[in-house]
Amino acid sequence: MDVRVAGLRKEYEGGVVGLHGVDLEISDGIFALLGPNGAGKSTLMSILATLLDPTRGTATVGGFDVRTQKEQVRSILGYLPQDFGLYPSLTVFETLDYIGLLYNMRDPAERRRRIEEVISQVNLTAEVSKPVGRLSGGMKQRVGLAQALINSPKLIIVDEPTAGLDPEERIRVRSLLAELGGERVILLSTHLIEDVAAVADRIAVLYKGRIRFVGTGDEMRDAVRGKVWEAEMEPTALREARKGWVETGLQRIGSKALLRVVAENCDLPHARPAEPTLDDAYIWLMRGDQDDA
Amino acid sequence: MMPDTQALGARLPVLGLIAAELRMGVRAPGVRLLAAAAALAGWSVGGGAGRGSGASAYAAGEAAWQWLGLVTILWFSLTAVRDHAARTTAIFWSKPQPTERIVLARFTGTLGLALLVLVALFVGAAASHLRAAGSLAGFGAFGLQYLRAAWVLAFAGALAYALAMLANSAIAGALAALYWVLTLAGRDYLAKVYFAAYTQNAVTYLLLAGALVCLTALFHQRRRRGAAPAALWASVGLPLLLLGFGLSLRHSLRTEHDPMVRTSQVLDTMQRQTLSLRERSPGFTLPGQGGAPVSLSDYPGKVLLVALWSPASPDAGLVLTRLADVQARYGAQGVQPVAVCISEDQGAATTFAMGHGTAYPIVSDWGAHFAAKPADMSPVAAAHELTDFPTIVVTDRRRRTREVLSGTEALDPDRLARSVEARLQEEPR
Repeated sequence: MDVRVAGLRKEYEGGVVGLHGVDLEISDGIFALLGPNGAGKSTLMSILATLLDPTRGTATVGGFDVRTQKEQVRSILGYLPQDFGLYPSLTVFETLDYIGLLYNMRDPAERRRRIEEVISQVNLTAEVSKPVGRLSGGMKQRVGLAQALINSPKLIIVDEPTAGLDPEERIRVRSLLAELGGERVILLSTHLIEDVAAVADRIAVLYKGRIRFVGTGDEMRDAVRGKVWEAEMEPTALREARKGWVETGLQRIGSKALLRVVAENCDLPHARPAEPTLDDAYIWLMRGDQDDA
Repeated sequence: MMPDTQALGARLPVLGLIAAELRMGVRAPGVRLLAAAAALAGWSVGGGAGRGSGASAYAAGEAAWQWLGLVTILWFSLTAVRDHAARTTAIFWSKPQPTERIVLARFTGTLGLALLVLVALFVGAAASHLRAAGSLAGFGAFGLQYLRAAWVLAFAGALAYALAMLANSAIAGALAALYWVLTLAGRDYLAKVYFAAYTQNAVTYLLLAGALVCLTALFHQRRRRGAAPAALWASVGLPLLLLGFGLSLRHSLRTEHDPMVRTSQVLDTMQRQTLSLRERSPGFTLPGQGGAPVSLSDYPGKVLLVALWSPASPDAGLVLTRLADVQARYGAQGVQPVAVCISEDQGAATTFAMGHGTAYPIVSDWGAHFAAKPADMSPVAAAHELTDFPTIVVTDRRRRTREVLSGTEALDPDRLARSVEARLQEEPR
């Protein structure tokens, strides 16, 4: 199972460009799309979920073209959008039963079996008979995940699945995504680097509709290896020292401040090289001085 | 009891989706509230002693299409765009179920709910009638009016659903509401062929409703199909239903349109007659409740009671009861009632006939059209210089007009009996 994207461009009405000719090849595992708001993550996911047509370029899911073979793509797809609703009067079971019908799962016994499986997977067994309208935000998110899993999809697209969740629910959702690996692609969009660090096999960093990096977490860190510096200084010197650097962190250590920056060279007093993190790499990749033309 | 989603879905996916729509709707507090309001509305219009099941059923039918029609328009408009409001678009429309099937299932499911609300209205009306009359004789009339209201709601729903879905805005459904208001308030200006609520137009507007659903299925989110062909039922159904609608409308325009009075020799001849005491009473040939033509000349040598009545009049049921009483008492002596229903809705006579179980003919004046003055409402009304509903013309055995009783006089059983007995005294046989 693979997802191939070539020269994908999306222009919206009014000339706004969501994607500028994106190329990607994604195979089994968890693939994270990382980028700030407006980077084009949701646009790319909507195109792969057959909800948007690209302006140019091609995208295939398991060999099916997202523009012409939409039904085939949808039948192997599970999609959890960032902002979604469910019918509040239906119970969890009825919601998933309805989704099963939308997936053309005609055999009631098979549908029930899958519903029970996914409900157990997302740990909602106790809530199965509750109307969705009475569930907490985290539980609704898990129903959202369950609906994306019910057809045993080959491609699971989850757009910002942990946004707005409390830490406990966030960890629960992340663990669930990690468990779902196997012979399928999980395309995870997030702007939370801790999510990526926890679960992603490969990462693509998008910025203003362009890919700035594709690779593993280690490769992403390697991209800034030797460029991360830490400098300890008096807090009074901080204001002047911070000017002109790509700053990735600031800590207080006793009465001193520890400034962390990413740069090819660093001439800050007492600067020393540091082990890179994904945060360092991400902020370095997001810097505005790269050519986006 | 709700249909079993599981079993239905196994046979045909669209049935499972429809059952799910029904299940959702039945749970919704708004739908339950609406059903309760409909039952109350039915109760309020369905009672009245002496009116008969026909009048009760007809009043329920009128209330149903008028106010429930508007509610249905709002309901279907919101159903058409509910994914936007519920933020379910991305989840539901990223599933492989074809657009056409979802469009059909949502329409059918919502229509099913509207028809359940309609049941509540008619149950309310029938219960109210039972309480007032102590019997449900002629209950079939409720069935007839239920069917009439059902197709009107189907058309109203299809119109609003198509407009709102194709324009992707519930506000587009307001166009359907505008049409409804026109039918309610603008009868002077709208020819009767354009009224979906008239029985004779049922086929025309059901065909149009079907065409609208096919049109919506084909064109709503049509890019969602990709390169896949559209569903056969919608592709084939749309041209066929549109053709059927066109032919049916053409037929209606030729046979039922208001200007017919100027083009039909039959209507023109009926209109040119005059009503004068001791002169031959105006005659007519009009379809009876079974559809067969009825003429006054079919009753030679009878004392005739020709009652001109309108189903819109609150006394509509009462006058038919009076005629039935007269027939029961004096029928054996050669007294024959004939009721002329003056209504744009050509199904009204059948409903009243069924409701009252009448043994005398109730004919439908197919030349009727809406007018402020009763005498302008139809050729037969014009010939009788009608001023009030009901009006009963009492003739002698040679069909000469002997008395004209109008309004409360026509409803007074003693007054009617005196008039009939006077005729029988003059000409016993």
